[in-house]
Amino acid sequence: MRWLRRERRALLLLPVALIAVAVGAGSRLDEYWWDRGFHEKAAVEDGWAEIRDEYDDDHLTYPIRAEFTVDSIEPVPVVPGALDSPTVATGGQLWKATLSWKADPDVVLIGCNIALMDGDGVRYDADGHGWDGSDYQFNEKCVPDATAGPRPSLGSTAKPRVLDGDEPRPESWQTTVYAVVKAGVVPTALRVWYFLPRYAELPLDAELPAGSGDAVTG
Amino acid sequence: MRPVVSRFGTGALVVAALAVGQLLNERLPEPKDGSRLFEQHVKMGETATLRTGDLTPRSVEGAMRLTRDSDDIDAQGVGVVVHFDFVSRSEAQSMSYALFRGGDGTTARFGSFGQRSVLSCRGAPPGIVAHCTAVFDIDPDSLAGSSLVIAPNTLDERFDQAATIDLGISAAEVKRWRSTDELDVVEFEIEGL
Repeated sequence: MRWLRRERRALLLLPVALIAVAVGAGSRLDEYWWDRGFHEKAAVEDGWAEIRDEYDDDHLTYPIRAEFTVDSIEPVPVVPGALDSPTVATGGQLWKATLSWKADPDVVLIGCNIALMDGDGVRYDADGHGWDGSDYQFNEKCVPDATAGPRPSLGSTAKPRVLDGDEPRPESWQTTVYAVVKAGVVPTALRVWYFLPRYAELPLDAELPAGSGDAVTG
Repeated sequence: MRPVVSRFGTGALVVAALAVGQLLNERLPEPKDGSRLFEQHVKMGETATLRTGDLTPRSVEGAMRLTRDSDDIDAQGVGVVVHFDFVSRSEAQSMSYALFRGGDGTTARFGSFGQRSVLSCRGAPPGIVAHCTAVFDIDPDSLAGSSLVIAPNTLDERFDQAATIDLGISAAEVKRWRSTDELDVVEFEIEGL
């Protein structure tokens, strides 16, 4: 009992020390978990999602601000052998989504990622894989190819700018994206992101192609 | 008398704590063991159900010269091709780590394009079958009893699952491969494309 009385100050400080250790180690949660997953969902208002992110490589920093909505989502019919029909991986269904965008023409918006999500959280990237999309996988997904707006110079800290000869990006525009989804699966949301953990997601009202279950697949 | 007992008790506690610390230090695995992959052992035709997807080894074949789209390999030992299928689960997942374990203790890591041991398995959309290969040039004496470890990431911070394929290579197969001049290899394709 005398020992307890003598050491009471240390004993009272012990839980504080333990909490400090836990909080200190908690920075690893931020580094290894929070920053590596989809954890900060953007606000959605009246069917428009607002992307707010930032590029920062310690040398160059610029904000990323845009709003988008999904105008349409539909399965793309695939006719095997037809010249104008895309070739899709076996067991896959190609989907096409059209998005409307609004942003300040001076904001950098290149380098975004888009994916279709299903109800189980499976992510189907709109990156051109899983179908014969020719140059599609190298195209920008969130800005028009011809008027992409300002872009940074690779390896330079100069302020991003519109390439010589290019027109400025308009204040509003549309883009079309494609993704291969497992046949028979209906995408339930469309996700857009630049840098994790931030992302924006809008629900979809999609339907399988007529006559599927045996969806039209490649 | 009591302070002496108290000091003795405190000293004993410190010694006990040091002993426990030493014991833990000895008993806990080395970092390289503690962070090793969780291996799932499979034979040809069996499926390893990994966190990232399903991996099914299909076949293994070999020859003295492997011709590929990227470049050809003229084997110093014998050229070996392991064919396997991978179906991503929740997002497109590439396989980028492979380790050959020879029956004689030989180990060989796989590199990327242009090296003599190459793993080709880019991510296909979830649910779609990717036909992948691991191609390597290896000492024929190491092939009996050998296995191949395949995992998603070269740098793995989540101690992820890996498939360990029992290659099941016989001495007769190695002999046949050594007398096979050339083998054409399709390194990677997505089913239906």
